[in-house]
Amino acid sequence: IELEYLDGVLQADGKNYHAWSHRQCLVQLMAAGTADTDIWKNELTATQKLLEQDVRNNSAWNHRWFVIHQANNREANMTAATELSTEIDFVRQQMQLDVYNESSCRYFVALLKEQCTVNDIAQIQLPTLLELSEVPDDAAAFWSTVVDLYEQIHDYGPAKTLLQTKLTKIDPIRQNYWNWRLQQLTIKEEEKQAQAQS
Amino acid sequence: FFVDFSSLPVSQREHLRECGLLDEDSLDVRLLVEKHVGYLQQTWSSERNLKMSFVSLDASRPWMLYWALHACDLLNHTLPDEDCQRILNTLQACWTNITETMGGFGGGISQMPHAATTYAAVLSLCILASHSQEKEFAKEALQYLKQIREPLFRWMVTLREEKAVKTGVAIRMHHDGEMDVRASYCVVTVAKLLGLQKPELTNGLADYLISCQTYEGGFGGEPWAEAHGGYAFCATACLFMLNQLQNSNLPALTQWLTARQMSYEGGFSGRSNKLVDGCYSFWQGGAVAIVSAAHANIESNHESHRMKDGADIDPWL
Repeated sequence: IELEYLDGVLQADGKNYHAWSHRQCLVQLMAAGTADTDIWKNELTATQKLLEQDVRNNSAWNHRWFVIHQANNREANMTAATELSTEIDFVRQQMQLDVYNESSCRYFVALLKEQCTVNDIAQIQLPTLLELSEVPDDAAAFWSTVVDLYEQIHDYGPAKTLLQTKLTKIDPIRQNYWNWRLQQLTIKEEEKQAQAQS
Repeated sequence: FFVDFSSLPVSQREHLRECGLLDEDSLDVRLLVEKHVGYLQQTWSSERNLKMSFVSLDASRPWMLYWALHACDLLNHTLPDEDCQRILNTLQACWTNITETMGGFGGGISQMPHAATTYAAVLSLCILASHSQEKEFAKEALQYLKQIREPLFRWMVTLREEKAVKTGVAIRMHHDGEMDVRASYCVVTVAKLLGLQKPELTNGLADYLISCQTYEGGFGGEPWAEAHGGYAFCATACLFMLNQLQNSNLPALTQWLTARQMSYEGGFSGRSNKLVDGCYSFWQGGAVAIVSAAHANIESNHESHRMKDGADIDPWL
């Protein structure tokens, strides 16, 4: 009943920080009292409803991260709410709906970095992502995601190219930051080459 | 959105000058200091009073005083001595003893001690005490701070919460009150200013704060809560004071912070996909300044600098 009440509140104000805080507290209490995993599946469905209404509701995305991690630890334990591959596919779909959406893109990067091996990302996830059709050059959220994933798999060349040709140009307010990333990647590149030689 | 003043018609430039917003001889924007001070006066002066609606801030009187004192300090405006004395008296009136040996500042007379109002009161007292010691109120303010430091320490230690948290130690805003990163920030700031940064108070705080960092890179108010500018500032500043910021995910924090600047307005948003607001120029802008310092510390590897931040300064206890 309390959850229904919260549903009502969040329909009116989908990003109310206190409502979400209360919801997380409540859900943890309810889950602690039972071995039943329905609560986590239901919570996942609740976030999906909100995301269907507004794919940019960052609070809903944040709650989803909480749900798939069952609020237990920093490692995902997704068998209660969903499977990893299902979740990755879901997020990629949401990204396709709006490639400018920071919420879905950041969630995607974080999920892959935490859950997938370098091989996974290099062989499957990154290529699949790059198959998304007609991503505009100025979709900073999307391209910064690609940069982060290239960095994660230690493929510094393409990451640097993206920074030089796209991000420093289409996102000038963050120019200093993108240039700093370029520097960092160059350092990593040099370290990698030094290691390869030794 | 931003207009180059040199491209404005002369009549518009003159109008801006008449309003006092533009310098007489150059195109520099001027801060209307006198008007800001006039506005702030509402909080302490008999000449100009707060509107009735401010009754809602009756539990925040140290805050009103702090905002006014701090703003005047930044604007380089000195209050008359009598006003400073009256402010000091009000702050002292906000002190409540819990027992003979411990207490803190509440939002008003006889109100229970609270971490936020204690933060505001102590910072206000520091501003007053930092005036020339030849001034009676400054001398009294410093004396008073020395007097309350031990009871404050005892009270702040009782705000620690170990059992109800999974990672580290949280701080409550008041006895039986909510736990979130604001409380850690308020308590550690007060501790640092008064030379009270001891393990008995600060042990475990960093672990809790770091557990509040989200997948986005910013910090939420409590573990798993959404990354938010206000909480990001509190966590970042507190971790920096504890010399532990480098143990958080600094690259992720850096990225989230820079992403918070809006390209259209130039200001900061508090969370992803939410709107820009002036207050975040402080929360997020301030966090940026601290993160820059942390990066500089790492890059220059200044051992002496780290020692200064982490050492327990203990001149009086």
